[in-house]
Amino acid sequence: MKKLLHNHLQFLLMAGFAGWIFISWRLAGMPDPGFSGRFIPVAWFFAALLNGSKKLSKSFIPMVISYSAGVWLWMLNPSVWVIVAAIPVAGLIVWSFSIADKSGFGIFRAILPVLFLSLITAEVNGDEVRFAEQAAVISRVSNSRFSVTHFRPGDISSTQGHHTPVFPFLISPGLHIGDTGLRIIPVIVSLLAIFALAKLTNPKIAVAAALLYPGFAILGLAMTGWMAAGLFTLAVLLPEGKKWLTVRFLIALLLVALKIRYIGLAAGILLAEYACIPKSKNKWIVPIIGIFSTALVLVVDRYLLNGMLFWSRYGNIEAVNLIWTNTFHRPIETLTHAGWSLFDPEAGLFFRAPWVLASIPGLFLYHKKSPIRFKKLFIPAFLYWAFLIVWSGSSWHGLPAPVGRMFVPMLPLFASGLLMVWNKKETRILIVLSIAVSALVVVWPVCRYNFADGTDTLLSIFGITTGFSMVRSYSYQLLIAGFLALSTMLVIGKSQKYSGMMFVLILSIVFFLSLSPSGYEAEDLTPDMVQGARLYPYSSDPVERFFWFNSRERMLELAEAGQSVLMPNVEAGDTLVLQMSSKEAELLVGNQLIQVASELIELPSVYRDIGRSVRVLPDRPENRLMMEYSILVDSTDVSNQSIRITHNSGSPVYIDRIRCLDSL
Amino acid sequence: MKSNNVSRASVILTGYNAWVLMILFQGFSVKSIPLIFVFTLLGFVIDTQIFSVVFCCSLVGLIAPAFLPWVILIAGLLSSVAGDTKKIRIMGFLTVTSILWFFPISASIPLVLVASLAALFNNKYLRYSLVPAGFIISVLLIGLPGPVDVQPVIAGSTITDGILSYSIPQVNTSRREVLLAAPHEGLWAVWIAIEAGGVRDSIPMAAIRLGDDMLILPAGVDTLSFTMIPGDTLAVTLMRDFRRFNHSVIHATAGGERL
Repeated sequence: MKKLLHNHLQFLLMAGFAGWIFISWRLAGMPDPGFSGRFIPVAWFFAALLNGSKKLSKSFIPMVISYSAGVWLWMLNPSVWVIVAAIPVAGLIVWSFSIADKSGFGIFRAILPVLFLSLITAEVNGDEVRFAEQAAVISRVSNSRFSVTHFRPGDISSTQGHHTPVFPFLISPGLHIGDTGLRIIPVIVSLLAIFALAKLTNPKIAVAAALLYPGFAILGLAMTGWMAAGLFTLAVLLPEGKKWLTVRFLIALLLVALKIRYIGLAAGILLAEYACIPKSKNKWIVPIIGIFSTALVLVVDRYLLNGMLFWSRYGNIEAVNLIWTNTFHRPIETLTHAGWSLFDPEAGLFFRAPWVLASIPGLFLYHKKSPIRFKKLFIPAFLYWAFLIVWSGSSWHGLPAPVGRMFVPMLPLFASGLLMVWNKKETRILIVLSIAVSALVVVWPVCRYNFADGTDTLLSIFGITTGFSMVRSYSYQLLIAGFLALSTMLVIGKSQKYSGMMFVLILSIVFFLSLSPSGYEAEDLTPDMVQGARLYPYSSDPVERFFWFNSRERMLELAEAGQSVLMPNVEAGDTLVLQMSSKEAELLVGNQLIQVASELIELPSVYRDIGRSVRVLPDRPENRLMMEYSILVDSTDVSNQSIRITHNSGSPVYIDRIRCLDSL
Repeated sequence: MKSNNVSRASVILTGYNAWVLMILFQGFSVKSIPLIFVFTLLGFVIDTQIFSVVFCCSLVGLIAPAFLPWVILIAGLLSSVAGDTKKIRIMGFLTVTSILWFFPISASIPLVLVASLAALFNNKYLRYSLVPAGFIISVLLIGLPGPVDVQPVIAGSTITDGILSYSIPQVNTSRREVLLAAPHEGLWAVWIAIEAGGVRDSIPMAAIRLGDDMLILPAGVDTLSFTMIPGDTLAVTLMRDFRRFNHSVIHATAGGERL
């Protein structure tokens, strides 16, 4: 018995914890016993089987105690159970790091339990369905769920999606076992990419890159990000020499064929290769010839072949025109998009993946250590990011598909930076925060998605709304966020103690607190304030708002009888400020009738040149000017310290923001 | 002062400053005072294995006031049980008791007992087993601590071409009541589909109340209809208290039409 205990102590402890999760969940009566209450213990048991004789990490005991205390107290708040359930998942991720560098397929043993949880909790998203439909057409193997193709925004037609056929072709063998086989090939691709990342860095870093955002966003899902990351890593790992240059060229071609978005990455791989060649007199002539010949092909396609070769989304001359406009006609907007791509709470890189903040100072150390490899990592990754922002503009985030997926191809760069700072205490703080994000996403799968409406699903677990968002903030706030991020990087680069890091982190929180919205955003009004009124557009899909010129926030529509907004804490003498638009309508605020009418906005001049036809803005709510109406509240308007706003007659009224200014 | 002590002091003082700034932004609340204990604790545990958890607790406590009692209790209990030194464990005990002073949490005696015993014992295995043991004793004898905020939740509603629909959050032992308000004008025919379950008996578990009328439902699926006028509120209430091996829950969907 003693020998059995001695030989299998680690297995028994982990399996025992799996059992404890299962039993305690039921003893406490926590919600979701049928799914999370079963699969989280199963994942831990799976991990116990894979652990072998590896000694458990020191964080195991604190994790068990935190979970036990958490489950004891889960009823204190309706959302607490989500955090309680996330504790063992976070523990599992920590375990994965600890086992990654062990011999005997350590990486795969580390990845599998969390990958299992990720796969069963990530619902099949629209892009995956589209890939599956195309794969079903290509392979003619699936005759059930994915056999009918549907039109989606951005598609060329109902039968021709906006995806190239390469990835659908690649995943089609999985569909041989039915619709459930959709993710078989993507899982294999992800594992191979992680393996390549491990060769580039080390197994622990590769596992961290996979199980933390942005990698975790689409780990094992039927999306192209991990394949791009794998191909990029492979291009970096390949030896030098002419024959390998050909392979790199093929990789670059494959990346473009995989998705045109990766053209920046592909160009970067070739450019980096070229940049690493020793200096010669005519070294830069070749890329210049390359750029001009590409432009020539696009011009010929557009004007002689009438766009036969490239569809609009695939890089014809209009796309070049768009790149020109975004770069030279509206550089501030483009820079702002670049800033939000780092800081936006819904889709920004640093918010979901704080560890990247640590990896950036690490990259400076990496540059000193191996400058050539740094070039091969940095140039493609930077070009990918730049091309993404310049080409996609305000839709750089690709929402509502999984948050962070756009940054997955940049993982080899970030992982290399992390390698250099992994052992720093400050890095650990950022890693802990990143683990918490992944764990919460597993337990509350809706957090995998966001809708670019100013409300982050992850923050909404904690009941937090913030005025800091790409759809509602001012650019100067980005500068402050950038300053804080830079401070964090400097602290990580220089400091050896927690003190500096703590200071910067707490300053960041203060910044966050200071951005609490003044007044009420219409889309954030709580149910006790809104009766019957709907949000416009009626679907939360941000694709519908991608091309709005005014503001991309959703608006509260007051259009029919029974719909109303009840503003609390209003007294006679206060001024109610409503930002709203309408074709022509009457709004009843308390007992006062307010005439609401606003003009159509004009199409910004920079957009008039883009596209093949003349652009005129249609008469839609989003194209009307938002007007500010100030209403002095009278004592007859107020009842029980609240005032009711209703639609009286005319067209619908669209409210964007409501503020109440107290009387002096 | 040794560099470690400098580091510790700076963490504690930075935490206090963050607390002060939080008050400046969100207004003073006596219930935020226990956060001071958590920041003190954070300074004490900087070089230990429990730092990550205490750090996450202090972050959540700062930005999400609704989670304050939970995060403070977790930080306190963990420190009192898994703290390396007696100083940390006593600080953990003080944190636990401070939160119970400011938030009257029901069924909290085992929490205090665990924290105080843990602060006294030196045997770490004995201390580690205190939290699971306290949890089991609570479940078997006293019940789990109940929700801090017992206010009912109001369901959201939308009206489209005279058709009313409600989005109703799940009702369980941590959120016991949800209210469905009638639109402010008109006469409405409203239906509500109730799916109550997660229990192992047929004792009544949901109360549906409209004005003076009340219906009591056992576990199962029921659909009810009402007529509602402005000012009416339909209340869906869970009648069950915590009971081990029961996951009492009410899922409801509701809609209506203008008459």
